[in-house]
Amino acid sequence: MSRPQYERSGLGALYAFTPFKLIYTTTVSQQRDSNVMLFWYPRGTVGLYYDRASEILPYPLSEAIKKCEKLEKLWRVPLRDKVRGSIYLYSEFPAVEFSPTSDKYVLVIDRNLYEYFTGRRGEEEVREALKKKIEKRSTFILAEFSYRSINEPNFCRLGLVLITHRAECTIANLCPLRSSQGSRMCGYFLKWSRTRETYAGLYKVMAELGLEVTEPGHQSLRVVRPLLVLPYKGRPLLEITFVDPVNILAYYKGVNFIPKKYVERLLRASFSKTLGIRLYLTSAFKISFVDKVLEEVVNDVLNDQEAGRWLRFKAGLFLLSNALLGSSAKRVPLKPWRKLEELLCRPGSLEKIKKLLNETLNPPPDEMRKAVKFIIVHTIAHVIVLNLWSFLGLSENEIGYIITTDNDGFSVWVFEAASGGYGYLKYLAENRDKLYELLTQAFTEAGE
Amino acid sequence: MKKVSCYQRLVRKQILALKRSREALSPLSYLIYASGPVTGSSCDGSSKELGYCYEFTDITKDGDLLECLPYVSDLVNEGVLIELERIDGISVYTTLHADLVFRVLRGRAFEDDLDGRWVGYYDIDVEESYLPDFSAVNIEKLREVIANALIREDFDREISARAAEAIINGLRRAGYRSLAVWQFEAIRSILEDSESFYVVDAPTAAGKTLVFMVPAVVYAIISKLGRERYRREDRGGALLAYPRKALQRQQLENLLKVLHYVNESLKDLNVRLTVAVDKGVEERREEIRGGESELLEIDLGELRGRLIQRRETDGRIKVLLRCLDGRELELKYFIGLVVEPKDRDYILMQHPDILITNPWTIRERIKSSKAVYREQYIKRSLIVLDEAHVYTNVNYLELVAALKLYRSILNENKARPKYILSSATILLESKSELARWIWGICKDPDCRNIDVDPYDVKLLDYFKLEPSNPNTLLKVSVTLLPYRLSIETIVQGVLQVLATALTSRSLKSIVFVDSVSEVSTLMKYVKTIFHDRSGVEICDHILSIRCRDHSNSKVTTDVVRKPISGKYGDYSWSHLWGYDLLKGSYTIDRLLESIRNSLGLIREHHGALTDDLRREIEQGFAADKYKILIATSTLDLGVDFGDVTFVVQYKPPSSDEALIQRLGRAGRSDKSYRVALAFYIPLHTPIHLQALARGPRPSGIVLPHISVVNKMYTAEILEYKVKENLRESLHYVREISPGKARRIALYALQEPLNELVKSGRLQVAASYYTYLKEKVPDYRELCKGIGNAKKRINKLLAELKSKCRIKKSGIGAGKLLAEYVKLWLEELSEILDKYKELHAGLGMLSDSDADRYLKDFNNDINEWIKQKPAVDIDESRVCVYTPYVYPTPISDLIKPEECIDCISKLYGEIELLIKYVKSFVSKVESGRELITVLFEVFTARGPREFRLQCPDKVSVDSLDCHWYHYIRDDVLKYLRLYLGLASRGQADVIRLQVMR
Repeated sequence: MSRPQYERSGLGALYAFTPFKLIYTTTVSQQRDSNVMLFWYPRGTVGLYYDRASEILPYPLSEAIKKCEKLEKLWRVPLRDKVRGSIYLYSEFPAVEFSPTSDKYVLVIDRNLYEYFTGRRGEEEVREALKKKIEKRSTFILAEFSYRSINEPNFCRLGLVLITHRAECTIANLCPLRSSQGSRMCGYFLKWSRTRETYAGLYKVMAELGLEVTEPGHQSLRVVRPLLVLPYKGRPLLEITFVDPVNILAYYKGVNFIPKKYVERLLRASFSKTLGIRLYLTSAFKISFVDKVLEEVVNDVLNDQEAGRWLRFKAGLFLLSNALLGSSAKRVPLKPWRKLEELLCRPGSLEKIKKLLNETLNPPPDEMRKAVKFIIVHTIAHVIVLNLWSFLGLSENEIGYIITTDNDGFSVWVFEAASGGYGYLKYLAENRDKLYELLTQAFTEAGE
Repeated sequence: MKKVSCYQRLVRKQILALKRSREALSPLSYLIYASGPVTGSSCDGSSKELGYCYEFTDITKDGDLLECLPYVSDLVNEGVLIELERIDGISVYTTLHADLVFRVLRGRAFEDDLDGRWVGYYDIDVEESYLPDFSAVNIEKLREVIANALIREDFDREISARAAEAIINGLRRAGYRSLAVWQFEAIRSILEDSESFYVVDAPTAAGKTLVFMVPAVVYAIISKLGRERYRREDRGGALLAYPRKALQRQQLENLLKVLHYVNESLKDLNVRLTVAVDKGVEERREEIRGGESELLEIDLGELRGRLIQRRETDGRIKVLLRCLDGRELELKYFIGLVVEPKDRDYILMQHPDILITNPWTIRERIKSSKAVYREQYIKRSLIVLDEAHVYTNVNYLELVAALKLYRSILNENKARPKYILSSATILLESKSELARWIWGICKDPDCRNIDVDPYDVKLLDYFKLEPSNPNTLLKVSVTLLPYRLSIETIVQGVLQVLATALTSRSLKSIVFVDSVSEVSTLMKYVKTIFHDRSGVEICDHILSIRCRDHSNSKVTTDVVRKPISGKYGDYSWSHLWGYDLLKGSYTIDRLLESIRNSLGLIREHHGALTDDLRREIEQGFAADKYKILIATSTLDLGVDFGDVTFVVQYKPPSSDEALIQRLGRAGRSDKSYRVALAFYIPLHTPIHLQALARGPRPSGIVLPHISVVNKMYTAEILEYKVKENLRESLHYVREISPGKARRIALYALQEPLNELVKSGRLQVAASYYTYLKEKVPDYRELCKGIGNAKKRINKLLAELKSKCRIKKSGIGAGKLLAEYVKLWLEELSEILDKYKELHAGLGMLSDSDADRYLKDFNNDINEWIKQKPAVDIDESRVCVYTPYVYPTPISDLIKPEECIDCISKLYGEIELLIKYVKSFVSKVESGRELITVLFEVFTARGPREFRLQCPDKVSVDSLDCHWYHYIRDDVLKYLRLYLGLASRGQADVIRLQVMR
């Protein structure tokens, strides 16, 4: 293993070192052709690696699995802390280089498939399990990374085989979505010779972060300074308070694979055990909403014909994914998109589709109002954060935000994403006229 | 100059027409030049369908352009004025720059697919700024200024005059025969005025380097003459710090050129000014063959060749100029550059008169255990931070804190240097504020008072010092937003157009992105276009037949696309590729091969490359071997490649300054016709569109609250003091074990922390933490007991699921119990995490807060115990009392005995866990003890980092190694615990360990 070369801090580190994203790559025109990637295990998968890909690539998957070592071995690196037993805070992430000289192979495989290939499960049982999984989640079930597959990937158009060097789909006989049942060939399986796209050309890999804020209660350290109240129709809608210090816990909830051209489904790999980072003693703005006034905003927006129709539609999609804060149901972020795809791609008249849409996106009125309320809070949070980024010349790497909810309603925390903070929010807290000017401008522009 | 100015005029006219055309929406009207009357304009009805039209301007009838006629043939020969076609025997021309803009705006994958065009919306900014008149002031005028500066330092008049003469001669021979007015005034001010801080603010390519290089040479000579002639040790030379390696390399070359000739002229005085470069050593070191390493290629005017650094067997370093004719010449004035750590001792012990370095190296050297290292940084009369705007960037906050420490050490040592900050992009409302931001030290914790007096800061503003003149730089910035596709399509298209145009021209482009990963992605696109797809897309733009299908056919005039008379003339790039290249017996295969070869003209440049490779790329770029560099910020500051004229910024840059700086890399000399053309491809998210619509902020950028940097400065100064203390101890004991060194360091921290207790900024003394830490081992057994009990419970939970299965489908008591216990265990982890997290700022925790925390912790644990799962088993059923009673009849269980047995065991383990937790709770005496123990005992640790390369014992010589690899982390942990000074390096940073 080489000595570390790449270093990032704060939230930027999590964005830069996202699992399954190419962190660094050069091309054949360069002196050293390499691709560097980080791996972590999505829920329900097994991660394996092998040191000399050229030896293992010709083997069938069942043989290759036997030869591989567990990916966990790579993760014997300095650990800073472990939170709630499931969020690992490492100071080093081990990444794998794929190049002609660094001949590595990494396999991430669904646990059911793994058990099938290791002889612990039967074909029917696995097919059934995969069917259930695919219905429930839009994710991949097999990914084989090697220098060859990254540069010349074969893959499944439905994303079930994320990437492989194999010329045929090795799991076609087990796949519940295979296009032509009974045959070993599958129309969804695309070869590189047809697409001429690299792995980077197939998917845009994006981190989905979970963020939590805590306020250490040290009275001697703590500063809580009310800054501004923004009104709506003369009544206070939200109050902005400067809070220092706060701690932030950030971790990967999952990784989204946004298809670029050839793959037809948006894919998501979620993590039960995950990687994260803790930011200590930074500063934040807490934006608290007055629930009664927010209700009034909701009424007004819903009464607006165009905005109301759009918000209801959005709220319907939102509720379909169980994303409402405080909801105990398991989140299914990609479900709304799948539903929409199903509906819109279905043959039939526009009227019929509209009717089906209305039926699908028709939650109980109470739920709908809650969702609309959340969307409005989220929009306001966006207006504020985006304008802060623009005003301060920063990005999501430096200023993050979290929406929380409790009995008093919604709050938005806008925080500086580095331990100790940067001092920008403190500057604005001491120069309230600038903050006021910024927010007034932001809302005026948003209104326009 | 006239030719350059004419070309600018031609470009400007076309660009302004395109800009006007955007405002008129459609069709896009493209102004082109004819060498005679061409009837009409193509902007008629049919152009609407195509979306563009040509507008002809007769160059012979245009009053503005008439005087440019004599330069047309030169410009055509140089490839920047392109003959598009001949219409009725009249040549029709366009400029390369305007044509690139037009081709990009009209770019698409297929000629007839107008819906597939890359660009949906664009905006064009045209700006002209006057260039300095570098011939305004004869260099002789500096002679008196320099001589007076020496006289003020108490050198006698004759020596001063001779030294000044030598400097002027040297500058003249190095090619500086005259100066711009602003340069003269700025140099005079730095040498004559009494202010301590100077902020040099001038646009890119305005000649800032000379403004601080001349004073650097003057202060170097003051130091040298003082030491060698008058035995005065009080004045040191100059220190120049650059934030980018490429910039540092170019500036070194400039300085060597000046010093080479200045030293020749100084021979009479029997002194030689020396220069050295101190820097960190990268992990993948430069290749060293036979004790030799190549530094750079250099052109000293009369002498050209490669600079080679050779390490002699006795440890000395020699720098040799290996000339092109094979001669080898030792450059005695260049002491050397740190290639390996061992070079540093030799280099710094030679007392270089001018020391070139970077801010990261300053940060380490001022805390070094070696006196000679520190001395070389402390004894400086002039300290220059070039491209000083970088220190307003969030990523540089810790470096700003380190620079404040540097100044505090300089003050402590009674050094009173002049500080120069130089930049082209100080976007602060008050530019002088930059000096207070970087060098000012707070007098109180909230920084209401700063020790740099605004009256002690002088702003040297180009626009105030330089009179205006007609020589201009034309800056064109084209912002591109996608039509239906993505910004990736635009950047791929722009790269294709650039590669097509630059293959046969000696002009260049830099494509800027903001991360190595982004560079890699772009390089992948490039590879796909030129290699995997064999460049057919470009070929299709050159020929009107599908290249893929006709690879064996010959390229004839008929198949070469015609930019004006062809149906889709806007789709044609044949003129950009060059008609000359298409003449002769040329097959499409050969054309494709040539296009594929263009891949070799595109290279990447970023911080992850080795120094050797980076240097090779820079030199290849300068020598025309490469035409397009895809670079990160490594190339955005100060670097000077005269023939770069195109810049692409893909995605928003890290700061507003970066965009200006990057555009400033282009149009820097007559070779680029003083035209800088930038394609800016921002993200098209709402925020970026809003920012674009709003334009730049009139009031400049905002600096963070300085108190945050002040906290970092406090951490820096405490770390410095601790290390100093340890170093002093080592003078007495010479060698100690690493463990003892660590203990001494932590002990040394106690004194300054106790001072803070006295001043009320801390609640408890550091010794209290040591006392608490001593109690930690007592808790280890309990911690182990809790951990083991949890493991056993988890094992039983896995068994429970299989042993308590029920006959029918549904959830049985076993499964429910397992899920509940899992949640209940997670709850315990959450409680422990909640209090463990409070360790940051622990030293500032008041007694009442500490008591409250302990009380809250006890309550939380009691509550958790109350929530323990209860199970009741009788003859007929198993009852689980989680929040609800959940009974499962025994008859429903597949293996009732095994299930009951498993539940009983589980219950036993749960009781044991509670017993351990209770013992833990009863043992803790205070809130501080609780947090300390949780932090020390319940923090998971991975394998210890490999402690490398340090000798077994700690001595003055090996202290730096031990400090950075072993002791520093503990000191910083202490600071975090006590002062809440969360060191980013320790808390936030994630390193990537690449397995190769």
